Amino acid sequence: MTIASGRSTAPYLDLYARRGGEPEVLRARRQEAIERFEAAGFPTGRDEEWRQTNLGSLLRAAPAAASRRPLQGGEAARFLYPDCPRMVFVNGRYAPEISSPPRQITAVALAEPGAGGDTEAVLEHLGAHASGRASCSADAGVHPFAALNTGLFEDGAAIVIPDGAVVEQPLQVLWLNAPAAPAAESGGDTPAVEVSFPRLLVIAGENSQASVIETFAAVDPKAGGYFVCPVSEFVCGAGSVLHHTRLQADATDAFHLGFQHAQLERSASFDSSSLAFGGGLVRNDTVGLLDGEGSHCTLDGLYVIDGSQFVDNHMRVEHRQPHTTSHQLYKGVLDGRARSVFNGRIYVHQAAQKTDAKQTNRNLLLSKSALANSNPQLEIFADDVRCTHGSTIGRLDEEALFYLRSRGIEREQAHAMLVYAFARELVEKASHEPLRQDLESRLLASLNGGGPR
Amino acid sequence: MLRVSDLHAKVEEQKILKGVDLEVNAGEVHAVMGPNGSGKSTLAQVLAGREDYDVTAGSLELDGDDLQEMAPEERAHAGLFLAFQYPVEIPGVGNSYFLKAALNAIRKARGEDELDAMDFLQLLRKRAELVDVDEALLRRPVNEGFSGGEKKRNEILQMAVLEPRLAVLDETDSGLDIDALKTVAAGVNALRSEDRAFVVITHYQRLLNYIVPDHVHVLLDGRIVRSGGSELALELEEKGYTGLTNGSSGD
Repeated sequence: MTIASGRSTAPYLDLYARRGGEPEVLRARRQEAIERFEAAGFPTGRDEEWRQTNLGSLLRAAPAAASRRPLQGGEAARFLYPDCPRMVFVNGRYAPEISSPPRQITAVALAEPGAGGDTEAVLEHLGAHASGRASCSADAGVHPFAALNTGLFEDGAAIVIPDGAVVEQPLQVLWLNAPAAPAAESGGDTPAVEVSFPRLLVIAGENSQASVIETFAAVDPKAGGYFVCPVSEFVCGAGSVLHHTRLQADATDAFHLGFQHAQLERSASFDSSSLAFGGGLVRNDTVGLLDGEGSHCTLDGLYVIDGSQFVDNHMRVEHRQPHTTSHQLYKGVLDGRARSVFNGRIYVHQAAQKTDAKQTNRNLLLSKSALANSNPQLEIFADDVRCTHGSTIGRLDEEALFYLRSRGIEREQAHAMLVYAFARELVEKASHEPLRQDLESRLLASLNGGGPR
Repeated sequence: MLRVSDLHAKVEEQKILKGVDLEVNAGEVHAVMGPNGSGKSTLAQVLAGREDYDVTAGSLELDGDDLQEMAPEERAHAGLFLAFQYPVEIPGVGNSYFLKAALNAIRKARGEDELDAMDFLQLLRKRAELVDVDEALLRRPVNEGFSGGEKKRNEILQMAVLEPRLAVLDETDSGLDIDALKTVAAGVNALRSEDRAFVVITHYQRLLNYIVPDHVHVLLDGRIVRSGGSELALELEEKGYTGLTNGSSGD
C-alpha cells in the first residue's frame, strides 16, 4: 500500500505495462530504465536538485496515454518554417503525411528504425547518454523523468549527419500536442492528464555541420493541459558544429519536464538556445559534457513568463578535458506571479586544465509578485582555469522609462521597448531568418500580454 | 508660452523649490543660473513631469494648459523638450530607432502622418549634420558607451529632430570642452526662431557667450532672487554667487 498518495509511481508503471511494444533491441534498455525510475521514485522537496520545483499538481493528476488524433488541414502550418525539411509529431507520434524529412541525411522515426541506413549507430546511442544514469559527478543522481521517457517513448526522431556533411537548411522537429477534450470523470476527484514522451537523437558525424530546430507547441492553447516529457540527445563527433534551437510554446496549463544532453568529442562545437514562452510547470534539465579536448558549448536561454507560470532551468556543464570552453547566458522576464529557477552547475574535472567557463543569468521582474531564483554552483578540481559567473535580478529602469516618455513615447510602448531591449540578444542570435522573425513576434506578443501563440 | 507661478516642489520630503516665478514668451531665450543645490535641475525635472518630484504649491502652464495634469509624454506632445543633464544609457535600443519612435509618437498625437523609414532617415541625416553628430552614433544603442560630449550632442540632435516649441537645456554645457560647447551652441542657435523658446540652465556664464540670452535669472535656495538682461550673467561671472547675494541682501 502506498502511503505517499499522489506521489505513487504506479500509474506510470501501469502505462509501461500497457505500452504498445517496441523493436526487440530496445526492450532491455527500456526495462532497465523503468527499473531505475521505479527505484528512484518521483523526487520530493527534500531532494536538493528538486527542492524548488513543486511537482504536486503534476503528480496529483492521473496520467493517460496520449490520444491518437489526426491533424486537420493546416493546423501545423503556423508552427512550420516553409523552407526547412521537417519531421512532425502529434502527441508523440510521427505524422508522415505532413513531414518532409531531408534527403541527404538519415532522419527516421524511431518507431520504425531500419528505414534509414545507420540503424546500428542509432541504436547504439539511443538512451546510452540521457537515460538518466548518473554521469561522472557522482551526485548527479538519476533523472527520473529522463528514465521515464526511455521506458515509455512511443516514437521519436533519430537524425544522423554523415561525417563531413554540411547541411545548410535547418531541420525542424515539431512536437505538437493536441489532447482530446477532457472526458467527464465519473465521481473521480483526480484530474486526468494526457502524457507524451518525445524523443530526439542527433548524431553529428566528424567534421559535420547542421542545425536543428525543435518546436514544442499546442495545436489549440486553450484546449486544456497535458504533460510533455521530452528527451533530446546530441552526440557531437570530433570537429562537428551543431546548432540547436529549442522553442517551447506549450499551452500555459501544460506540464513540460524536459531533459537534454549533449556529449562533445574533440574540437566539437554545440550551440543551443532554449526559448520558453509557454507551459505552466516547466523544468528543463540540460547537460553538456565536454568530453574532448578543445570542445566548446554555448547554452543560452530565454524565458518570458506571466500569470502563474513556473520555469526551472537546471544546467550542468562538465569540463572533462583540457582547453574546453562553455558559455551560458540565460535571461528571464517575469510578470504577474510567475516564478523562475536558474540552477547552473559547472563541474571542472582535475584533468580539464585551461578550462574557460562563463555563466550569466539575468532576470527582469515586471511585477511585485514575480520571483526569480538564481543559484550558480561552481565545482572546480583543476588549478589552471578561468570560471566566471554572474547573476542579477532587477526591475525595469525607471530613469530609462522616464527618458523615453519625456521624448513623447507612450508609457506602454516605452515599457515594451525596454523589455524587448533586455531580451533581444537571445532572439537575434537565431541565424535562420524565418525562425528569428517567429521568435521576435512571439516575444513582442508576450510583451503585449498576448501570451504564447 | 510658459508660465511658472509660485512653484514649490519637494524631493523625498526635502523642500527644493520655494516659490519660483518664471514667464517665457515665444522667441525668447532665458538663462537660469545658480550654484549647485539651488534647485536648477529640480526645476527642469518638474517641468518635464518626473513623477518622484512633488509639486506642493503653485502652478505650471504651457500655452495656458496645466502641465501638472499631463503625463511626461503628453508634455512632449505639447512641444516641451528637456535636454537631460545626465542622459540615460539604454542598452539594446538603437538610437535612430528610438528617435523615429519618439518623432512618430509626437506626430501621431498631433494628428499628423507618421514618417516612413526613408523619410525619417533623410530628416535624421540632415539634423545630424546640423549638430555634427557622427552617423555611427545613430546606429548604436541610445547613449550606451557615448562620451560625455557625445551624450550632450545626442540630446541636441534629439531636440533638432523633435523640433519642440519649448526646449529646456539642463546644464548641457557641463563637462564639455570648448569645441563641443561651440557645436552645441551652434545647434541651439540654428534652431532659434520666433515661435520657439529656450530655457538654458547653467552653472557657468561661459555657455552664454555662445547662446546669448534675452533674460537671465539667478536661482538661489529655491527662489529666483534676481532677473535681468544678458549683462547680469557677466556681473555674476565677476562677483560670483556670494557677491551677488551680499549685494542683493543689503547694502
